[in-house]
Amino acid sequence: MTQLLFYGCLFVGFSPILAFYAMVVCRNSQLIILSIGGSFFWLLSMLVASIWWYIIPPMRTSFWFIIPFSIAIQEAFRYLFYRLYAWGFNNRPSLSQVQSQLQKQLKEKSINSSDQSETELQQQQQSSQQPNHQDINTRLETLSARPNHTLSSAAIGCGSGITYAFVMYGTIMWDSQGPGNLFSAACPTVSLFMISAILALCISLLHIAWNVIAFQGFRSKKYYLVAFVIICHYLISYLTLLNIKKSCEGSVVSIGIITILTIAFCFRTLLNSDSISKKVD
Amino acid sequence: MSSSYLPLDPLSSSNNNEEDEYGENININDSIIINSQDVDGGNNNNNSSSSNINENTNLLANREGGEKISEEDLEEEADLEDFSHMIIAILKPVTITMLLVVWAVRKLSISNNLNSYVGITVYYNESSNDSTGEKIWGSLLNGLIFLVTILFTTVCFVFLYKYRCLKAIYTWLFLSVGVLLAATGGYIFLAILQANNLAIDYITFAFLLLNFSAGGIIAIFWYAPTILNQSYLIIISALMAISFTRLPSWTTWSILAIVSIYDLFAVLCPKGPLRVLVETAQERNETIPALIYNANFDPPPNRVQSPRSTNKSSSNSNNENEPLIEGDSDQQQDGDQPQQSQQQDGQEGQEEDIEIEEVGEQRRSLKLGLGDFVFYSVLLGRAALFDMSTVFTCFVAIVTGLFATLLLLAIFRKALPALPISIAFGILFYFLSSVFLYPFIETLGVYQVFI
Repeated sequence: MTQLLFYGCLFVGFSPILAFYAMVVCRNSQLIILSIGGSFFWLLSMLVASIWWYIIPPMRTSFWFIIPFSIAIQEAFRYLFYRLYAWGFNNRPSLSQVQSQLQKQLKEKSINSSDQSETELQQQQQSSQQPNHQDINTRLETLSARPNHTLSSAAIGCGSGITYAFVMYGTIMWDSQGPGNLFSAACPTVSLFMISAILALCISLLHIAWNVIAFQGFRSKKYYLVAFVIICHYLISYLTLLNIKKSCEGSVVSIGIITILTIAFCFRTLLNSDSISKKVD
Repeated sequence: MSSSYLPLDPLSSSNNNEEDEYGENININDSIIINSQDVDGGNNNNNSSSSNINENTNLLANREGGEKISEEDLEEEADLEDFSHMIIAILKPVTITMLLVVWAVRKLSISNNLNSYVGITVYYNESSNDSTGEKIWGSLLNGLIFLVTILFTTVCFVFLYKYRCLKAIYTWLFLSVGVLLAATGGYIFLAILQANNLAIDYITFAFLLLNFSAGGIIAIFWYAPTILNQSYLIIISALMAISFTRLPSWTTWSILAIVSIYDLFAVLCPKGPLRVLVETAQERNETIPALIYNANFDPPPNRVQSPRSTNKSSSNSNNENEPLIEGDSDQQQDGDQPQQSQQQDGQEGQEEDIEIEEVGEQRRSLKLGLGDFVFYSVLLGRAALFDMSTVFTCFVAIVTGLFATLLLLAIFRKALPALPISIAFGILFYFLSSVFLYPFIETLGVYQVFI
């Protein structure tokens, strides 16, 4: 593969998800930790899926069977990570809650300025698990709050998306170095790596969207969102089966359209949900 | 605290022996492992990631002692936030070292320079003709030899430290760092030149190496800009890790496993040489001479510290100020040459507490030992020899293990070894992905089926 094609495929495959990572996740250290957690759980699911694939020899080449099991395992691990996340984070205040609490404290403090009321404040705050200190340091507290649920789920999705891109696409990219090129069976004129790069781009972005939607569904018990994610995942994977013999445009174009639609749906559910628009008193 | 130390020692750290793998002394590993295993009672000695983390948690413990409950919440919140900054601050140098090692290993292995050097230290030279049983047995033997050497050097070091032979320790350290940088650095440099088919004459080569290694000794043991000091420490870890990946593969895995198990025992069992070392250092209130990496990270500005400083007893503030002081004095030493400034900082410990808060721009420093760097990078280097997918898999596993260790540390609040969990995850993931995941991905990749 020529250097030009190599770098082109590399950038096509990795840059959107890495840009998202650099601009959104790297800003906040808690998000980095969450993204590595998401990445770990996705890897675990892939390992389990690959063990399952390995030990059942007839399954090795019949993709109709590989796909359902792998996707089921991935979604199961996504749910598992959601349970872990909920267990760790549900009791901690979010940024907006902390800010509103601080405003309340400021108001109360300006009304009562005696020591006694401060101890009362302290007691109140102890019971509400808010930190207390003489100077109300907004920045400190806002930084110690958890990021909001949307950002957290996006970071987790980003982690699993990056791992997805590196493991599924990066592996074959590294093997592609050297002379010669590999062309896909369906489209003999386009390099296999370019098509895989475009698909990796779409699907890694989809990981973010799926994670946001799925966590919303788990959290607010709207299971139709979870069903949407699962169906979308299955649809995308089965569409990639078209790559084998039939046509590559069919898979790439339709997956691109589904990506755009899913991201739009994700935004729509976010706007309709209580993560962003609800005002906390 | 740093004032009671040798004037040579700007960062209150000194190298722990590094010896080259060429010879029989695998001191480097020992001392660096010492660093990673130091059980720190927590006051001022930061020698390894475990002890550093322990130091931080003891900080937390010290803060909580004797204070109002209301302040505890503040500290819990603040510490959790600091915690994530701390974790990321640890991650950066570890990632850089890993990247360097993976890059160098890939470059060198392609030109097949890698296995031309087989360690003289190994008892059993692997060859692919041997049966599996013999390979396992041989590699275990090699691992045990390694372990015994580490143990022996640790004990020597503890004796030297206990009987205050500081000159001997420093001579050892200086020579080790110099020899490591010059010999291993030179060898790897030569190998990289050969891999890229570049030529350089001996005179320039010698000149560069001399400057490199002398500069390294100065940067680590004396005053130098922080970036230079950190880069040299990273380079040292990378060089060591690259030389370890030259060991035969089974031996590498057995060494990793045996060293992590040893780490577990050395840190958690009460009678190890490391405990003696740390306790002696605590009694004398000195920092242990060790290879320490200073990771600076920005705390959130306007950290509220005044209530804590007014409420604290002096001993608590001493403990708390220690890392902060060392961080500040490190920053200051970039500019000021004289050591009196350092001593002054140590004495002004109490007042600086408030200063830190006001200045807002102050950076805290976290100290780590290099042993963990080396072993994580060795694992990744070995994974890189197989395929890049295993590199990424093992990277995620190691980092997750590191997070899990830090989490356990925050829960248990005592010293924990940083190696076992990460190395266990790493080895597990390596074998799982090389046996199961890699064929899976290859099959899917060729058919362009994405799951």
